[in-house]
Amino acid sequence: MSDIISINNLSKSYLVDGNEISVLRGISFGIPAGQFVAIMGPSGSGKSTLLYSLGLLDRPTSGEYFLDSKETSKLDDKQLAKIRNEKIGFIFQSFNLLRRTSVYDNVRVPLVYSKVPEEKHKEMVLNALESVGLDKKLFKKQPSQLSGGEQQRVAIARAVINNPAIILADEPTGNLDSKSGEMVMKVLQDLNKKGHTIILVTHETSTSEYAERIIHLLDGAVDSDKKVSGRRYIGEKEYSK
Amino acid sequence: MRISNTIKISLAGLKANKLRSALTILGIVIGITSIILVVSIGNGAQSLILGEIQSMGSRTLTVEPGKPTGGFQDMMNIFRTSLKDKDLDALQKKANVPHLQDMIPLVFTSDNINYENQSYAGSVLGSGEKIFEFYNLTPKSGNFFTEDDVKAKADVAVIGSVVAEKLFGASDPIGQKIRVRSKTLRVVAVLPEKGGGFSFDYNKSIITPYTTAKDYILGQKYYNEFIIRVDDEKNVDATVSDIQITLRNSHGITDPEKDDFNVMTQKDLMKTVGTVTTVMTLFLAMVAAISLLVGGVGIMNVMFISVTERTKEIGLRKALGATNGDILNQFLFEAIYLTMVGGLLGIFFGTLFSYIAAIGLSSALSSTWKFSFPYDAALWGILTSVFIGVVFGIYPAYSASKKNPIEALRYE
Repeated sequence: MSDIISINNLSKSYLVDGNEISVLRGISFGIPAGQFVAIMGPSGSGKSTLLYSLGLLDRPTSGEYFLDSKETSKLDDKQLAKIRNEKIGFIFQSFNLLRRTSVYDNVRVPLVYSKVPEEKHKEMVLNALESVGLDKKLFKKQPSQLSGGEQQRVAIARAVINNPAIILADEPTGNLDSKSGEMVMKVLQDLNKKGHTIILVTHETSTSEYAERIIHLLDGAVDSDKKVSGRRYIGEKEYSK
Repeated sequence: MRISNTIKISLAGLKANKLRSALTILGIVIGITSIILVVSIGNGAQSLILGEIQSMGSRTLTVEPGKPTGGFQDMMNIFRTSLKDKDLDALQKKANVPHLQDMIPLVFTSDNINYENQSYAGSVLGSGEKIFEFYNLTPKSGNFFTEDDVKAKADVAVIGSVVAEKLFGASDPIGQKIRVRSKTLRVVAVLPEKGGGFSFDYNKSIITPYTTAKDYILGQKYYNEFIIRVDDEKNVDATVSDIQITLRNSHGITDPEKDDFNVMTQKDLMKTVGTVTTVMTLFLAMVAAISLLVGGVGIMNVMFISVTERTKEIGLRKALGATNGDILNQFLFEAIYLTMVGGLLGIFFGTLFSYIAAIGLSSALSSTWKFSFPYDAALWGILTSVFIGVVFGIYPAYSASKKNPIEALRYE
């Protein structure tokens, strides 16, 4: 199977007050479709920048990024938006749900920017809620009426509603207690089992062990890249409300 | 992304801040309301005045002293002294103005009208006896003065209903003596109460023979105006030039540029009045439009606040597949929606207020003030408010669309 993501000598630098700050310095790796990868590293190591670059929210300063064997640096904003919409699902540490907006309308946001006909939206939203283990009846609620774990699962439902090949998660358990965090990781492992490629940024070793591969960044470069021995799985038994 | 979805998202954004949205559009509401009100009242005034002019009949000409100016009439003309007795005689000669049917010379002033210890500040009109027929009047009581009274410079007066009420109350004024300046006049008739309007409010006037008024009350040797009726509508143009030639001869004028009199047809008058009221209405509407500008700046300010507040939402939407254009549209629609609702409310209130004003003015002027919905102003109101939405919404919306998604997502 060919790599769904392949980056070659990817660099990113910013100009801050006239000084060039290198955040990523020539990173290269490939991720096969269906892999569950954790990106780790201390703060400032560039892991979030790498994740957002992989999510096509940021353009690298130099280097190549092949997504589905397609070079992305030449794509315009509209094409990038389309890829983000169809192939990539984002999950954030702070959930980023829209306030005063129902669960239904939150989960539906990616569909609004897609070509999916409106009459299919409801069914897709309910299926997505189901796939993250949420009660369908929650769809009329406001995010503020839900627990943190439930909010993050709403956010995951939003990320997967377009059935994207890749799910990018930025510290998804960072704002959750350990039990809710485990639930979220269980959902991600289930999605991985269904074939989604998952890239997870975390600084918690325990969280990273749900992945099958861990890439360590240090000062914007790959420090280590290895398979996880003794990967953690969450069984049905532990995953309960 | 479909427009309907953009609109839905924009509406949701506005609903989240109902009070702020309502306050923001207030400027637009007030602006459009005032424009509608001004234009509607302006149109009403215009049609009322034009209606009065029209009711004079298309065979009517007026001759006024002073240079014809075209457009705005020189207000100083009423102080000109160029129309004299010899002009009156010359114009009445068949050989000079063959199609002249009849002629009403006028002198007028404002002064106190006194009866015993009562006094009322009203208008004094000296006129020919034809004025009553001209305004289609019949006496409420008594009899109007006649041609003989005019010739004899009789000391008689016809008084308006308001004058009668102020000076005599419930008692009968007929036969009573009133005084204007040093002249004593006998009341011979009371005019019926009628809508005054703009041209001449005879409710508050007394009418005496022009001979009496000119020689005994005002002591002046000139006339303020001649009203001339032409025998047939088709002879109006010929008569205008007959009058001009006659008066030029009488005044020894060879260069028409130096005319010291002005002949106005009903058409000229309507054109002048139309121009004046339209210019006035436009001017007032423009003043009202300033509040639209202020409202627009308010919209822009609030849109910037809204964009800043929702920086994170912008980042999120971009991450989930929104293009820059989607974000631009979302905020632009918000601004346009705000101004459009403001415009519609403005049209509603403007219409309501001008309807109330029409009722009020009708009873105040005791005439029928026609309420007319100003379709053109309403259409312009809507277009202008949408335009303001675009103009003042585009920059905040553009700045929203250009936000860097990563920085936007990190914004707290």
